[in-house]
Parts: sequence; structure tokens; C-alpha cells
Amino acid sequence: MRAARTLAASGLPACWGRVYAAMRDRPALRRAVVHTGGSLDRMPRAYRWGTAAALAAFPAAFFAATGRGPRRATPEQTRSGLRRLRSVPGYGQVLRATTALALYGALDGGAP
Amino acid sequence: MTRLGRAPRPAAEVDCDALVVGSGAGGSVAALELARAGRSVTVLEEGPRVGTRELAEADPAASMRRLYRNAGATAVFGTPTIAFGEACAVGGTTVVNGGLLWAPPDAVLHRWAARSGYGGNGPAAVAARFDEVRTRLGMTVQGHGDGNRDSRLLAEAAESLGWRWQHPQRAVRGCLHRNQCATGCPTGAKQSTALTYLPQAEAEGARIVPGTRAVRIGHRGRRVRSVEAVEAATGRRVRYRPRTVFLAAGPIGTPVLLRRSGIHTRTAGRRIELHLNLRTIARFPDTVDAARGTMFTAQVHEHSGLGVLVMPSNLTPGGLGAALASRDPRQVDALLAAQDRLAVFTTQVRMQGPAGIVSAVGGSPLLRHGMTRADHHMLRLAFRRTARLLFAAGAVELLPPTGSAGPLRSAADAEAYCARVRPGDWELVSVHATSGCPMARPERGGVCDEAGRVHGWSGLHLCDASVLPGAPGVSPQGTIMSFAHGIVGRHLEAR
Ligand SMILES: Cc1cc2nc3c(=O)[nH]c(=O)nc-3n(C[C@H](O)[C@H](O)[C@H](O)COP(=O)(O)OP(=O)(O)OC[C@H]3O[C@@H](n4cnc5c(N)ncnc54)[C@H](O)[C@@H]3O)c2cc1C
Repeated sequence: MRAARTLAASGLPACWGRVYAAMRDRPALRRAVVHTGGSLDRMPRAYRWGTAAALAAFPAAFFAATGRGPRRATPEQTRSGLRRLRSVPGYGQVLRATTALALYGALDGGAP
Repeated sequence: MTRLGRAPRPAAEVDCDALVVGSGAGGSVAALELARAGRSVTVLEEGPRVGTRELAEADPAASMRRLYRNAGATAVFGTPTIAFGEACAVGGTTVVNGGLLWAPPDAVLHRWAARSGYGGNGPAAVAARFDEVRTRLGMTVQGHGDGNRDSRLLAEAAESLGWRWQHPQRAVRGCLHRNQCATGCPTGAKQSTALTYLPQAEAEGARIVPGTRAVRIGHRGRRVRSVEAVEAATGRRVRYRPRTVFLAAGPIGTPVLLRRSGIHTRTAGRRIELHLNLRTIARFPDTVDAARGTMFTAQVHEHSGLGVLVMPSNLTPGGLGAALASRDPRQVDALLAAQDRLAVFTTQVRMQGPAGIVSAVGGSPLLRHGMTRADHHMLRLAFRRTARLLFAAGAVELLPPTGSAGPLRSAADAEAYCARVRPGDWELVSVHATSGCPMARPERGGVCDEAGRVHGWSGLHLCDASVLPGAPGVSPQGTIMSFAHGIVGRHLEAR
């Protein structure tokens, strides 16, 4: 559950909830966070550290891309911020991997 | 690979006759055959034992986290990064696989004999062992169920093009088409080794120890003396002192353990062969309801000579969402809203450039691959053929396996995509890895002989996907288990 806390603190789930219909309601977003965090907790240590570092940098990276914090951006700003970050080499991969886990968890996960 | 520091003194020592490390496709065969021959067998398995009832009660996401190593996504770095999936549970990857059961093609066996310098795994010998596997697992030919419209469309398209297709052979008894193969069959229809070989081995006296990871093989000189293991729940270390070890920790686990133990550090895991999966999402003009039905019931073999197979894949809302993750959220929403008209197809391609374990970071193996230009070319060729097939199946739009690529609506679009796509653009998955410790003569880069005996060592046999001399080009479980029967049979004959 440590990764779930890091994830929640990053503000990334707030972005997901704002722009993906599949994660708009609270229980779905919770399932997404539980699955993403639970999966990251099972990854090799080096991968976990790398992802944790990328998540810790997310608020600053998002601010650099949009001029707004991840919890305050509008849906349009969020979409464009995520689009820009997806194209950053390395960072884009982390974003893609965590988003894939989140969508899987939201849609195929059970009540946490 | 970095070595572990000096191991602390174990809390317990256990003497045993045969110790099998890993309980998947290969390890299960070793467990059963050794137990049937009257050996006292202990099987160490890192993952948990999960019964059918628990699988039925768990949601797919929870099973994904519980049953898969690294929650299902081990990264194989390179251009592009490939996500590799394998299980960590009693029954190994047979618990989460599709149950497809094919014998290796004769041409592959001839090629392997020439490559390895060993002739004991020719078509006749392997066919006899495959028969045993097939009988024990209750193999059937999987026809269409009530659903499986995606498979029917694929089969009709293949026929319209004059391409060969087949219903798959599967290790299932009474499939109820629940579409959850990849997260563990909730009905017990899929005949994983957790439901077949392993209980039979236990009935013959074998002891299975779940939740216990082998961390190092101890040896004196070149004779294996012990296996150090750690119990996940308690952290307690146990030293097993077997007469013979059968290492079956899977295509990555086996070379990792050898190298960590200072055995064949230069060759083990340097060259791992992969099958790659390209995922294409197809939109049809009317309802396909691809989530209804078992994994798939038709596989197109027309290009199997090139190592290319095309088939539908399990579609679940979560799996679809995950496959779309690199796309714009609005597109994801629109596609998820239209999912009853979508189907996901897998094109399996044999990769030529090998992957390998390059080092260990924080105790975990670091995997890299070296995809070649020929591989990139083959992926494009495979995608072109897939696109042709899917348009013939009536698809009105294809989303290729590149997040930045838009929808393709014609053969010309597919051609333009193939001209544009760069190696790093492919989104690739692999669930078949083999050959990290190949069965071949030492001068040909082999790690073990035909009896799975590790060259230059005594008391140590290998018995899983890692021993195959190459990637078979078909789903590998049948080949792995046939080879495992051969390995254990030779060992028992030699005694
Ligand atoms: C989603 C998916 C679908 C697939 N579908 C098919 C299919 O339909 N047909 C087919 O033929 N193949 C399929 N495969 C592949 C096939 O299942 C594997 O190739 C095969 O199971 C490999 O056999 P193995 O014995 O080498 O390893 P595994 O079956 O993976 O078994 C290795 C076991 O060793 C354990 N282990 C590893 N390290 C240690 C250690 N240090 N100590 C103790 N235990 C350890 C692991 O936890 C694991 O349980 C699929 C794979 C996946 C992921």
C-alpha cells in the first residue's frame, strides 16, 4: 500500500478522475489507485524506486507543462498536460504504464 | 550479475531425495514422474497455492496482482520496452495461460537437432511424450461457444482469403466460456498443472511447499549439495539437502538462480528467445460482443512458416482500457463506450534478436532485448497480413499497436502506417520466453545435455522452458512438458 500513498500524493489520480470517464466516480478511482499501487508494490525494487521518483516529480512536471497544479487544472488543461508528459522520453513510459494499470483496476477490479 | 552477500545461517535443514524448484509446466512433470518412480520429492514454489474457489471469488485485477510475477509486467528494456508476463503460483504460468496445447512442428525439431548437436528429441520421440501430456491434460479441440463472434469472423475472413485456420487444441475439460483464462480459470475447466500433474504427484507422495523461494544453490566443487530457500511469510531460511535438484524456475528464474549460484555465469540467460505479441484493436460496424466466449476459438496459421500466427485475444473492459492507455483520454472514453463493437486481435511473431539478463539491480534481474531490423521488418509484414485479414473480416477501423497512430480505415492506411512506424513505436507484449539455458553441446553454447544435466556439474538438472534450444513458433507449453518428460525419463533410466 506504500505505492498507493505515493500515487495519491502525486495528484495523478485526480487527473485521471477528471479526464477518463472510466475513473470519474469515486469507487472506480479507488479501484484504480488500489490496483496501481498494489501492482507497483509487487514490482522489483529498482522499478519501484524509479516510479516513485517519477510520481514525486509529477506535480512539478505537470505544473511545468500546464502552469497549474494537478489538483486544480481544468479537464482541458489536464488532457493537454498529460499529452505533453506522455511524449517525454522515459516519463511517458511511466505515465503509460501507470495509466494502463489504473484503467485495468478501474474496469476489472472489485470493491476495494 | 551481482552476487548476494554471504547467506545467514539457515533456521532449519531438511534432507530430501529429489528437490524440484518451481511448479510450472516443467517442474510439474518432474514432480510427478519422480514421485511415480518412488522418489521422495519436495517441490519449492515461490508463489501461493490458489484454488478454483478462490479464483472464482477474486476479481480479475486482484488475481493479476496475486498470480503474476511483478503483477504481470516484467520490463524487457530496449527499443521498444517489451512487457513480459509470467506467473508466480503453484502450477506456474499454466494457471494463467490460455491452455493452448500444441506439439512442436517437425521442422522446428529438426532445426533444433542440427543446432544443438543432440538427436534424441526427434519428431517420433517428442510425439510419444506429447501424447502422454495430451492424455494427462485431457486435450480437446476447442470449437466455437455461444459467443466467440470475433473468432467466427476471423475464421470466415481466413476462408474468404483462402488462408489456413484451425480451432485451437486446448487443455480444458468442459470450458464454460467465462473469458477469464488469463487471471485463472474460475470454473476449474482449464487443466493447469495445479489441477492435474501436481495433485497426482502429491497422491504419489510428493510434498509441495508454496510461498518458498530458492535463493541459491550450494555446491562443493562441482557437486550440488544444497538449496537455500526463504519462506515468504516468515522470512525464515531453510537449507534443503537433496540428492538431486531439478531446476524448473521458468525461462527467467532458472538462469537467474544459476548465475546467482555461480553456475554457468557466462552462458545462462545470455540469450533468451521471445515470441512477440502485436495487439490490434478492430472496430466492426455491428455488435461483436467479444467479451462473450472463451479466449478464442480460431487461430490463423497461414503464415506459421514465417513464425506468424493471428488470433483474437481475451477481451475484458480492463484489458481493453489498458491496451488504450497511451491514447488520448477522449479517444479512450469513446472506444470504451463502443466496446461491444470492438475486438482485440493478437499477432504472434517469433523474434530473432535475442533478449537476455544483463545484470541484477537491487537483487532483481535486468532484462534487455536487441530487436533487429529483420524483426522490425517481420513485425511490419505481420501487421500488414493482420490488417488484410481483419478488413476481410469486416472491420471498419483498426487501431495499430502504436499509441500515437490514428485509426486505419483501409489497406492503403495500413500500408502508410507500416511505412511510417519506427522500431520504438511498437507496443509489444511477450508471454513466451525460452532457451536461456539451452540443451545443446557445450561447444555450441549449451548449458545442459539431453537429460537436462548441467554441463560440468553433478546433481543438477534443468527442466523447463529455459532448456528449449529455440522458440518453437507455437504456444510452448506442450513442447516444454514433452521435453520435461524426456529429461526425467532419461534421468530415471540412467539410475
Ligand atoms: C497470459 C499467458 C498466456 C499463455 N498462454 C499459453 C498457452 O495458451 N499455451 C502455451 O503453450 N503457453 C502459454 N503461455 C506460456 C506458458 O504458460 C509458459 O511458457 C510455460 O508455463 C513456462 O513453463 P516453465 O515451467 O518454464 O515456467 P512456469 O510455468 O512459469 O513455472 C515456473 C515456476 O517457478 C517458480 N519460481 C521461479 N523462481 C523460483 C524460485 N527462485 N524459487 C521457487 N520457485 C520459483 C515460479 O513462481 C513459477 O511458478 C502463456 C503465458 C502467459 C503469461
